[in-house]
Amino acid sequence: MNPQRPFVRKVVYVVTICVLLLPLYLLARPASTDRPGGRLSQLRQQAGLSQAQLGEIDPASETIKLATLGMRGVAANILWAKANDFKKKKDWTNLSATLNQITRLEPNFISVWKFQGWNLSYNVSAEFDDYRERYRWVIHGIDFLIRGVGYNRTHPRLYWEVGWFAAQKIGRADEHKEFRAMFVKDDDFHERYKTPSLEERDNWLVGKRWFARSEDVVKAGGSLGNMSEVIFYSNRPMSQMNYSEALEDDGTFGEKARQGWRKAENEWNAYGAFPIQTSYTDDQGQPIKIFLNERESFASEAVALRKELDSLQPGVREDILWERWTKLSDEEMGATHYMCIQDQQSGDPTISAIIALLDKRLPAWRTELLPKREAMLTQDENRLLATPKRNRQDDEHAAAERIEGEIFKVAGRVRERMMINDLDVVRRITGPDRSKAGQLADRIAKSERMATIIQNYRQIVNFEHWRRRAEVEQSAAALAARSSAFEGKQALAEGRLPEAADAFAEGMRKWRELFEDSGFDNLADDDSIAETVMESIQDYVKVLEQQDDLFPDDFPLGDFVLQRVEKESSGVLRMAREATAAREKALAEGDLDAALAECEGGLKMWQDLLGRFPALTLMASKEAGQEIFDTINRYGDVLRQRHEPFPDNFPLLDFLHLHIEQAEETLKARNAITEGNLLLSESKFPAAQEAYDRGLAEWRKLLDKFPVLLSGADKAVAGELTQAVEGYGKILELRGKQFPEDFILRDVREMMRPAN
Amino acid sequence: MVIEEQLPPFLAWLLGPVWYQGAGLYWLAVVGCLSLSAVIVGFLCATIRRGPVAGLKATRNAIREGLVDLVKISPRRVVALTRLAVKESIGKKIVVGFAVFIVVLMLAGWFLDPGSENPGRLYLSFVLTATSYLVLLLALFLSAFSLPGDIRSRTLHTVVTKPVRPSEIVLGRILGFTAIGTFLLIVMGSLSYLFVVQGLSHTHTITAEDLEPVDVAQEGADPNAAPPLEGQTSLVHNHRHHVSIDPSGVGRLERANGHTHELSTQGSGYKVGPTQGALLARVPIYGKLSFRDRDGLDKEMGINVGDEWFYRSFIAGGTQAAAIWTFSGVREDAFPGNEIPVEMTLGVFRTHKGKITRPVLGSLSVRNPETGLTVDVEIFESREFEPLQLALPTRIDRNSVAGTQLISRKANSPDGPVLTPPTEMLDQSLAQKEEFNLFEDLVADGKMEIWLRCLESGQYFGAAQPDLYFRADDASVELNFIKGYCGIWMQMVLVIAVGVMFSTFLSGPVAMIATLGSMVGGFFGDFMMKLAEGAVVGGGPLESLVRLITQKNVSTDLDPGLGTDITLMADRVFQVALRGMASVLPPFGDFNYATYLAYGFDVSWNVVCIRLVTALAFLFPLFIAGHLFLRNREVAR
Repeated sequence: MNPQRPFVRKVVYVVTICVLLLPLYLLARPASTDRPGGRLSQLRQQAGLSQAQLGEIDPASETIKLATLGMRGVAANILWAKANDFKKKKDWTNLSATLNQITRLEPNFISVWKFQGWNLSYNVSAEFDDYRERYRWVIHGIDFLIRGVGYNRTHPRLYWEVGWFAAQKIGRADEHKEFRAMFVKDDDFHERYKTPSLEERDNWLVGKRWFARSEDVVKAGGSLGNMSEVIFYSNRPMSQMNYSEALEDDGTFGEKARQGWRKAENEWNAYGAFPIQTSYTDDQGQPIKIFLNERESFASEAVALRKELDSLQPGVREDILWERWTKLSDEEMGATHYMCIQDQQSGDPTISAIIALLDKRLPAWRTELLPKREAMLTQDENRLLATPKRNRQDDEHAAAERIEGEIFKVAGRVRERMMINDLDVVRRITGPDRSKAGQLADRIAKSERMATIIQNYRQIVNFEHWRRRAEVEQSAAALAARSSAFEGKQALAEGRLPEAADAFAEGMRKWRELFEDSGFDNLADDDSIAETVMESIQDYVKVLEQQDDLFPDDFPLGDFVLQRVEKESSGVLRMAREATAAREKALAEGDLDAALAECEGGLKMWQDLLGRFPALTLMASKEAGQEIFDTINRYGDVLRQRHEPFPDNFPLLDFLHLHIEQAEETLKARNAITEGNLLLSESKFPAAQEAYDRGLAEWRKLLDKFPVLLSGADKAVAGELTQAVEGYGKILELRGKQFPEDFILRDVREMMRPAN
Repeated sequence: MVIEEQLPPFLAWLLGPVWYQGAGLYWLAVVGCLSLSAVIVGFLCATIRRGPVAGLKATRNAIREGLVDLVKISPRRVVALTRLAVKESIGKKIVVGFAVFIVVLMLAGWFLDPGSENPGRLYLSFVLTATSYLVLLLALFLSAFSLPGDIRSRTLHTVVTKPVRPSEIVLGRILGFTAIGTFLLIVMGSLSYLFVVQGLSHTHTITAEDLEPVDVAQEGADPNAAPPLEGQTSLVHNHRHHVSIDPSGVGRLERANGHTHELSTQGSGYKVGPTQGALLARVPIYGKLSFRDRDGLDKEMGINVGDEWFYRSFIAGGTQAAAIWTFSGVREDAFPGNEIPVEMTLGVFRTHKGKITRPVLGSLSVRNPETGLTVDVEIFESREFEPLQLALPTRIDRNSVAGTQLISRKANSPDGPVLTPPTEMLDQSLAQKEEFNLFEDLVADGKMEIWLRCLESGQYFGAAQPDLYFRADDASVELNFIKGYCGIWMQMVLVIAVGVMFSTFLSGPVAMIATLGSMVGGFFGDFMMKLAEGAVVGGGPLESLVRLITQKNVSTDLDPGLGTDITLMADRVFQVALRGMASVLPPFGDFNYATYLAYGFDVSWNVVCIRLVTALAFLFPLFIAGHLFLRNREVAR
């Protein structure tokens, strides 16, 4: 036998295997980012089939699984640890390669796709300093997820994640302006995933399409897992909202923006009309389905039914309430009195009902019940509660809170007992109507429960705000207001201050128009819209500050600004006004010490408000401005009566100084005095005196406008005044004259005298 | 490239900075200890069997005969035995190994995406790793099963009847298997090289529509001249290159995915040439890195900005902080050109976003360590994870630099801060020169400092020693590839030697498991040493086991008690054993040069020499041990 034969045979075997491998290789080669893959892969792509439908025959995945000899779990764990290490050591090439291997090993493990997709788009991208690199990695993450979708076509969450990344990661990143622009220009991405048109390349619209696809998969039977339906279904219409918002941020207004918002409104309404499964269950233990649009109908139905119930035997509800009231102890009545006084504006239906009852049956309850409340506390505690918050010492706040807490504990128990439900009413109804009353009560409970459930779910997605927003933003006034704000911002950034001021002023007028539009009730109360307007006002303030100007007299949003200050100042405005009232009372009573304390408290509070709301400093609200001047003037009065000088740097000195500098009279006075000094240096005494007369007349006007100047509130201006009077005296002296009896600034001379 | 531990020069490594720290002496000590232990164990065994006097005699005889065996090795017989080993191997596994390699290469394309961030890195890592695993497995099987198989089939009895020594049998096996492995490695290396080159090779197209004129109106520019053009190439391998063409028609492509292409004109259009720079063998010249803190005081380390990985230290921008590389041996004859190419990789850390669209600004200065003259040669925009290529001109015009100044280094001493040079020694006139000669003005005794500073307040730059280097002329990529395979070859020879050594006294499967264990231990030597030193979070082996079973977090302490005390004590014993094993097992991982090749760096001859000597240092005792074990087997007598 030839000894070479076995060797030759083996070589033949190997060659045969290799030859057979070639066609297999060509057939089964998988697709990659830029290769269509083998014939099988192409067929699968054409037919839109997933590996599951073809019996999991992705050859790359299967090969790597086989190569691990059944230990793919272990291998995936090791690779996962390696991926973490590569990430730690910032080795991005190997990280990508390792993630690729993990997904080949575990292509149907959804968490791998989600976690590592997030890792790439959010964590790895953040490691790069160059925003273009960051963008590339965001796209890598999206590509990664889309690859995962290819393996898991029946999992809606992966589609949803793609939508979320495209919409939120690109649209909400710090560098979203740059990301969005790059995304639109990313031909490769849009060609790869077949974005239908240039218009549709917006990241919000791309995200929206993926959200729509995930909804389709759910409708086809895909499971959402533990994701809430109300959130899941909100993403698609929200993307349209965000798209419309982004259009305006980018400076697109007019018909395109209007259409965007109209579409958003329609989609939001359709979302409201879509059945949403809740976590609440009905009597049979089945999950309750709701329609977000239906809250109002359930609420009004409940109101109508309750009216019908009450009409069966009028006055029953009030009688029950009164019976319960009469059974309360003195302590409970005292506590309820305190609660009703403190919380009368809270809108709580039980408290409102108690107040209405007491007003009707015990009209003097406010004074009559006071001793009962005072009896609950010691004398010191009563005095502490009677002290307004602003006048409490630091260590008194905690004690006052503790006492209030005790009172409210008792009052809270009363409140619960005073709540009348419909069944209480039904029990009192006798005769043939009782059965009908029971049915009505049952229907009321059901309607109210549905309204509450819908309300809870609405709050999750801020349903009402967005519905209203989409409606408002379509209006011509809103579009014009946004457009003007955008122009103003652009002009501000480019240093074109007059244009910026004009644009902002125009924007403000448009907002005013909107606020007065009867179609949009209480629009100024909508926090989101109010924030937008306030932001615009802040930008306007920047322009005015740079122009050394104040808000124009016809600024149309003064009341709105004051309203926001009231809402956002955590009670400081209210306390400042309370201080004003207390100050006036103290002055009327001749208590100068108390008046001074209230003045100083008021000044501090206004200072705090001016710091937080710079628009107030520039007289956005004339009403608030006048209140501030009143406070300063009253402070000057009190000091004068107490024969005390104005302290240096009193809290609102900057505000006062700014407005003195802005006053027309100041400029005129200074110009005239400067002219007088020039003429004086040229020994033209009569002309100098004439100029000085003009100047002093302007100073007089200013003093009448800001009487507090005479008290030395603004030392710098007081110095100028003194110099002017001295200069005038010098001219008179040179001309051999005396100060006239009716000297226009006699009071200034008198102010100067003690110093002399 | 990340080098967490840089190797010293060969002689410094071998002899050490002081005489007792050299690798050579360490090796002698370990080998001496092992030999002595072997002699003592041998003597004790002989004493138990024959009594102390006869035992002593037997031990002496064994040593003498062993030495004679070694000294009288016949090259002719060794060659004959080597040939025998080669013949046996050819009939066994080599063909299978080769076939598997071909299959792996064919399938590799499925897992390697040429459109990845840096495909060159990916391809090279893959081929080197795949080759390494396959060759080592082959070496493992060949070496572990050969001798036991011969003993079982009594083939060896025929051999030992001939006048051959056990040392010759062991050496013959080692050399024979090495020859087979070497042949296989050459074939695999050649195929791998072709695979990598073919895998990375591609070109792009560019049409007139892809280019758009750029509006850069410059003062004095000819209004009739063609405007510069910019655009992008076609998408190939998931990337495009940015193209810029100047008014004269000369164009260039920006780097993308770790490479670029040559751009030439073809008729009225442009033609993109083949891949350039995807495979490189940079020759870096490293300096020594130190830091300066925000107050200008010298420090060994910079700031940790909260990175989990402590590789890079950071310097604060807009302060006196700097990262300072001190280069030695900077002489004119070593850098004959007009400039010294410098490459730098940075870490950037922002404490505020700053201007999002603009990178952070930094400066690079050259300082004479003796005179303190510092010239700010470059203001640059930061770039991460890709080397930034700069150049230090040998003649620096004062008008072309950002600034010149005289700076003293400030270091803390027991007597307070010391300035070098002292302020009164600073010669201000040095900074007033109109032109600076790099070698004359900024180098002192061959030493020069490069200062890296971050210019923006609130932002930080991070640097590690290998992050900045002078780039000498590139080495040959092919030769570097061969060096990479030399590393695998050394691994293979060591595995063969370990396998043959174990096969002299163990049965085939046991020898294979023992060799595999040595390989695994060798590859994870660093981890074993960390485990032995108690530097691994989660404690020693037993403590980790307890944590696994009780599902206890690695960062919480075990509950105090007897069980924990016993666990910790047992771990101390384990740690001694682990330390011993980690010291004697060959560090297989050190012979892997995949990172050098993948990142486009030349494997220096210094590294090759150190690893070669390391391999020899392990081979010699393995051969001696194998020979002694075989001598003591009945079959060899």
